[in-house]
Amino acid sequence: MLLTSATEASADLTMDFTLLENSIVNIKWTYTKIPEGR
Amino acid sequence: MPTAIIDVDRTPFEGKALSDFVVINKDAKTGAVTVSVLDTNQNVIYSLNGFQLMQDFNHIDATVHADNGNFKGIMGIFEQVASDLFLKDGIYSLWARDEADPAQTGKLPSSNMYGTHPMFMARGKDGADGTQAWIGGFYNLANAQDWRVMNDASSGEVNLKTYSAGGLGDLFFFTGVDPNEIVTKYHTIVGTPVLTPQWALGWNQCRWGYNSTA
Repeated sequence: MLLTSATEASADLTMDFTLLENSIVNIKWTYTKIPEGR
Repeated sequence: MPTAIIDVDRTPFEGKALSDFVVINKDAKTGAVTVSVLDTNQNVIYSLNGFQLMQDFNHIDATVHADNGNFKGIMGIFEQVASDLFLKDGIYSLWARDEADPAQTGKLPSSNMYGTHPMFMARGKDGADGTQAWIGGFYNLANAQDWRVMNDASSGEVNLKTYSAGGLGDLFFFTGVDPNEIVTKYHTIVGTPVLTPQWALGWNQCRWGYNSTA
């Protein structure tokens, strides 16, 4: 089976990689904890 | 971007392998992740070098790999009046206003543009059979943002740094044989214009040009 999506995760960040129709690539990252800026 | 406003279909396409289009390198010591996006010719078209996200600040550092045989760089981002749509070195703000004859200088403070679209395209490296390879990228980000463009014609690389007042990372990449195919695929993500209803084609009263109601 072809792998069409993948996830890289660390303690505070998750990155999702997905191959969509028409060979469109989507990279999305979400912070589970947004670092304080100040 | 709330999915209630733009509901992107993120169903994985089962016909091809993700690994043919994305290469993820993770540094064993630091854990740092670098990402490369490939076209159908296995040429790298985009490198995600790094990113930062803090309260009210979102920075993405990337490299677009444009054709170095006939280098022009990237175009897109906003509507402007120009004889050359490819972007020179500079900083460009995505900040729209009802602006007549908008034109960018690449210098801060940046000019208002008539419309802005966080989407770019470039000509990549041609295929072995001479077929043109075009690439496109869309940053699904609605916050105020500046795009810093640095061209290197000798390597064919465009360093693209974006600075935004917020938002998360949600990037889309397209490949095609010409700009039309890039735009067509872009519209599969952001949607197509709505067909105007017949009743809207009747009398319209616009206030533009009126100084008073007298």
